Amino acid sequence: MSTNTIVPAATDSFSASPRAPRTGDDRPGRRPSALRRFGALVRAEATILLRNKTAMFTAVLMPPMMAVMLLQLGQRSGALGSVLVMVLLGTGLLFVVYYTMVTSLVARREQLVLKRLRTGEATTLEILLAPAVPLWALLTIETGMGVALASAALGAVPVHPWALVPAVVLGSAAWTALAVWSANFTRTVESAQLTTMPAILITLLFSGFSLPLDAFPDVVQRLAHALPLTPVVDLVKLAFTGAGTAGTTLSGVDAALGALGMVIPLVAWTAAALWEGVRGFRWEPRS
Amino acid sequence: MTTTQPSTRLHHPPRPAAHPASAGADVVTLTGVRRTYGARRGLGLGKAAGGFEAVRGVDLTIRRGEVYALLGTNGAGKTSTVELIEGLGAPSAGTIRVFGLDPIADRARVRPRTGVVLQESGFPATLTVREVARMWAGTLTDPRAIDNMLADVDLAGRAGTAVQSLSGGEKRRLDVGLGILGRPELLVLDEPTTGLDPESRRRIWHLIEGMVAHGTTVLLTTHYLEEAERLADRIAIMHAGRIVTEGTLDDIVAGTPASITFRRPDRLDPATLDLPGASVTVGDLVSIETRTLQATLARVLAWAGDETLPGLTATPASLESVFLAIASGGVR
Repeated sequence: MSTNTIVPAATDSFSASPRAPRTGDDRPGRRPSALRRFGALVRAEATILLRNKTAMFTAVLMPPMMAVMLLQLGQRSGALGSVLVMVLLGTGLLFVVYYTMVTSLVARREQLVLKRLRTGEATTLEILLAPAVPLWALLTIETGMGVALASAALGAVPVHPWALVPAVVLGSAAWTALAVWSANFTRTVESAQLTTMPAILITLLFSGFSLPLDAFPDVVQRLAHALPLTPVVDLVKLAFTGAGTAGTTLSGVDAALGALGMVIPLVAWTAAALWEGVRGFRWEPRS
Repeated sequence: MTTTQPSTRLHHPPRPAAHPASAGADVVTLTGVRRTYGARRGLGLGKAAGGFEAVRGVDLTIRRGEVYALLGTNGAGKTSTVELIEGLGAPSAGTIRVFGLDPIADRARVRPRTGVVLQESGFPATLTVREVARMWAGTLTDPRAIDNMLADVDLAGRAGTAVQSLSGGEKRRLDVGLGILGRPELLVLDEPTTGLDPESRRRIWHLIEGMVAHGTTVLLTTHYLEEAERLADRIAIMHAGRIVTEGTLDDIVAGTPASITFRRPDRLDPATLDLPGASVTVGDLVSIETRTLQATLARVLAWAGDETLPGLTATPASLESVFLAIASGGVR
C-alpha cells in the first residue's frame, strides 16, 4: 500500500472504528477483565524471570542448597522428611519470593517500567503483584517436590496434609506483601541485599528449623510464633507430625484450631505489610 | 526505494465535524493548580511547609479535538503539570478534570480513554519489542493490532529485537507506539521527539496528525518551537510554574513587537530618529521595537538616506522571539 498518506500507515483499527469520541459508559463490550490485564503482566514477568540467570539461580538453587546445609547441621528434632519440607518452603519464601520480589520491583522502578505501567489501565495491585506470580509457581513446585521426596523416599507421610495449603498460600501472601513494603525503602537493586537482610536473618533465626525454639526463653518462643516465617514452619510441622505449637499432638477440631492460631499471624502480616507497602509506594526513583 | 515522506503538508488534515454529543466539550480543565515537591505535611502543623513549588497556579482548558502545546524552558513546570493531568500525582491546590473526571479518584474511567507518552520511561530490558507491545496491549480495554502499531512507528522490522538493543530513537518510537496502542481520545505527549533524528521526528508528527484527523485530542510539551508551530492549534508558554501567555500562534505573536537593529552609524545621530509608536534604545547597538515593522523600517531607511546602517536586521515577531523574551523573564 502507499506510504504516501498522513493517516497512520495501517488504517485497520482507525477505519474499522472511526474515532468518534466515546463517552465513558457506552463503550463496546471489550472491557478487559482484571484477569486479562493481570495475565498479560504475569506473562511478561515470567518471561523476564526466565531470562534472568541470576534470579533463576537464586530462585531455583537456593532452597535446595539451604536444605542440604541445614540438614548437615544436624537439626534432627523432627523426622528428616518434615524438616526437609520446612527448610525448602521456609528458605523458598525468603529467597525465592521475598528477596527476588524486592529486587524485581526495585529493578522495574529503576528502569522506569513501574512509572510507565502506572500511566496505563492496570491497577496498583495488578502492577505490584504480577512479578510475584512466577515466584509463587516456583515455590509451589519446589515445595511439592520436597513433599513428594519426603513421602516417597524418607517415609514422612503427612497426617494433616491440608495444613500444607495455608503454609504455602499464606506464607507466599505474607512474604509477597513484605516484599512490596521492603521495596519502599530499597533504592537500588544492590541495596536490596542490605534492606532484606534484617527480615531474613531474624525470621530464619527464630524459624524453628535453624535452631530449636525451645532453646529460647518462653517469651521469645511466643514472639517467634507471631513472626511471618515461624507459623509457616509450624503449619508444616502440624501437617507432617500433627504437633501444635505447644508440642502436643492435635487431631480433628483441635488440629483445625491449632492451624487457625498459625494462620492468624500470617494474615495479619499480609494485611499490614500490603497496606503499608501500597500506601506510600514509590513509583519512580528518587531524583 | 521511494521516499516514505508523505506529501508536503503545512496544515492539519481536515477534521471530521465535532461529535454532536460532545461538541464544545472540554477534555482537560485545570483551575488554580499548584504542585509542591518535598513539602513536609502532616507534622501537626497541618500546612505544607518548605519544599519546591513547581506549578504555581495554572489555569488551562484543552478542547476536544485540538492540539495544545505547552512550551517552556527546562524547569518551567511543564512535566510537573502534565503529570498531574496524567494522574501520576495530586495537586497541592486547585482542581483537575479530564473528561470531567478526577484523574486520580476516577482513574478506572479516565485511563481507558487516555494515552500517555512520558518524557522518560523504560521497558523491561530483556523483552522484545513485540513482547512489550503484547504486554501493554493486554492491559488495554480496546487495543489496536500490534503489527499495525509497529508499522506506524516503523518498528515492524524490529519486532523480535530485545528492547535493550534498540537505539534511542527506536525506543522513543516504541514509547509513542504504546501511547497510541489503546486508541486514546486524549493523547498526552511529554517531549515526544526530543533526541530524535529529523526523519523519526517527522514520522512522529505524521502519526500525531493522523490521530488528530481521527478526532484525538493532543496535549504536547516540547522544546522545539517548530514542532509547536506545526502541530498546535493553541500554544501556552510556561515560565517559573505559571502560564505566561496562551493562544493561537497568531495571538501570541500579535502581542509582541518586531525588532529592527543596527550598529550605531558614525555620521548619523539616532536622536534625530522620529518613529511614532516605536521604542528606540540607543547604545553601541541601536535597537528599535515596533508593532508596525514595515512602516517603521521605511522611516529608518529614509532617515539613513545614503548612509549605510551597519549590521541592519529587521525581524518580525516570532514564536521564538516571544519564547526567548519569556524565558529571560522579560515578558510578564
